[in-house]
Amino acid sequence: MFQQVFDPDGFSLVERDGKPAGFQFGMKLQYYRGAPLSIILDLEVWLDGVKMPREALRAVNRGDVFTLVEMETAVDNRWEFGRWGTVQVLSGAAPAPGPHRLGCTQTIRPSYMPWPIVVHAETDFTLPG
Amino acid sequence: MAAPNQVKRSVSLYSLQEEYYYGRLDLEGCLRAVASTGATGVEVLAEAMFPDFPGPSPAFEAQWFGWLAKYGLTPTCYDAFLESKLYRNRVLTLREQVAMTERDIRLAARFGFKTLRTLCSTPLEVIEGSLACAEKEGITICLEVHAPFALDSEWSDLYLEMIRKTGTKHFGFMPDFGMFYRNMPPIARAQALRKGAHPDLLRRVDEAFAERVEKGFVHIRYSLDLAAANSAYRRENGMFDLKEKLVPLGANDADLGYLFMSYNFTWNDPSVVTRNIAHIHHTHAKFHEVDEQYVDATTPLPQVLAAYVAGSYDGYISSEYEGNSSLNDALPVDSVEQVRRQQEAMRRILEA
Repeated sequence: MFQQVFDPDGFSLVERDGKPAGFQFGMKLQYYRGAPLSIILDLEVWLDGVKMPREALRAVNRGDVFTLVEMETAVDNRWEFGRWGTVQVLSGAAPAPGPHRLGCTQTIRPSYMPWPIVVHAETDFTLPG
Repeated sequence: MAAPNQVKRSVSLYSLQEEYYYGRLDLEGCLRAVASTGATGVEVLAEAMFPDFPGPSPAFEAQWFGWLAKYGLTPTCYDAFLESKLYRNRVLTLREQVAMTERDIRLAARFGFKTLRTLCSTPLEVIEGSLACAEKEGITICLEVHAPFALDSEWSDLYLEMIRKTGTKHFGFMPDFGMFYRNMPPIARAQALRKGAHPDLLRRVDEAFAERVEKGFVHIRYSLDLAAANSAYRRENGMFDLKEKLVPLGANDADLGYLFMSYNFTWNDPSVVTRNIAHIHHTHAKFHEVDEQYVDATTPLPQVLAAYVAGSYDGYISSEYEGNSSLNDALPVDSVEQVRRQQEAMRRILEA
């Protein structure tokens, strides 16, 4: 829908208790109004062509962190139009330093649309060594 | 055309979504831009641009009215979205849907609007249940007649019957100019070609569109199952038959995307507006492109606006620019300039 989906400055490693836990990136919702997280049916993430497990994903918005299952009931947390949200991929390991290819599919279900919006976007990013 | 007329011009901030998305315009910048196009009215999607929706602060409210005064703008229409599928496991009950609509009616009134856009998917019972609140708040609920929905159809007759039954003066229609697309927008065709579509297959799609314009469209019917109703509309107007012919010819995703898009627009004789003018309280002037000569190659603006003037329409016609999505894969977007051109095109026609 829009050309720039990912935050060019939003890629970073995530640590838990001083240990590598995964990585995160910033992106904007590909829709023209803010949306309660509960109408985002799915987020799918690929790193270097490998699909990340759904259970590893977290949506971080307005200071709250949700698994995708928890997101189903997040009716009051709105991902505002044009604002960066963060997706964490808690895969348990840090991707290697260097260039990577990231893919993400957003599936959004606005109530009035006959079918959900499905948008796939990809980008290259580099993790520092 | 008889002159003078009372048609007023507005801009929906939907038009400026590209600039807002990238942060090139904030809400105040959007209002400033609207004023610069010559429009006197502004229509908003509070869910897109009002901070802390659905509970904007009193401080923001004061700021909003300050901006309106600063830029000389009148709030026209508040675009509501009935999020009836808020929960994953059920649709909101009728009572919940009415409560959500009433929330929006009160917000619309609080921010100075006179009309509230409700989507063509809004159940009759939800509108009927919200009428008392609309009357109390001085708001007219306007059902958007967005292609493929149509006036003078089985669908719109159901809402007219509701008007007759209740005697309400707080509900009516707002046509969207997507029902006055005489052909596919040239920028949509150009985008399909950029994405690898075949010119001969796009021509087949265009010819089928022209045939529907000539013979008339089968209207979509009222249903709470939007996917089923929309699929039936597409089937009855030949989309799936045409797809079956194009696939063996090598149609790719770009060809089929253009085919699908061509069923998002319809053509209706603009006289349908004049016939229904007593129930029309707002309008979306949807458009994809107006050129430097102030001509829209898709919607015959002189003919469409004449139908409003013939009905002595005294409401707002609100620019709704949608061409950004046909450009932004590869080309720069200047929504403000496009809106300015459409506003100027409409001004010239209405003031002629």
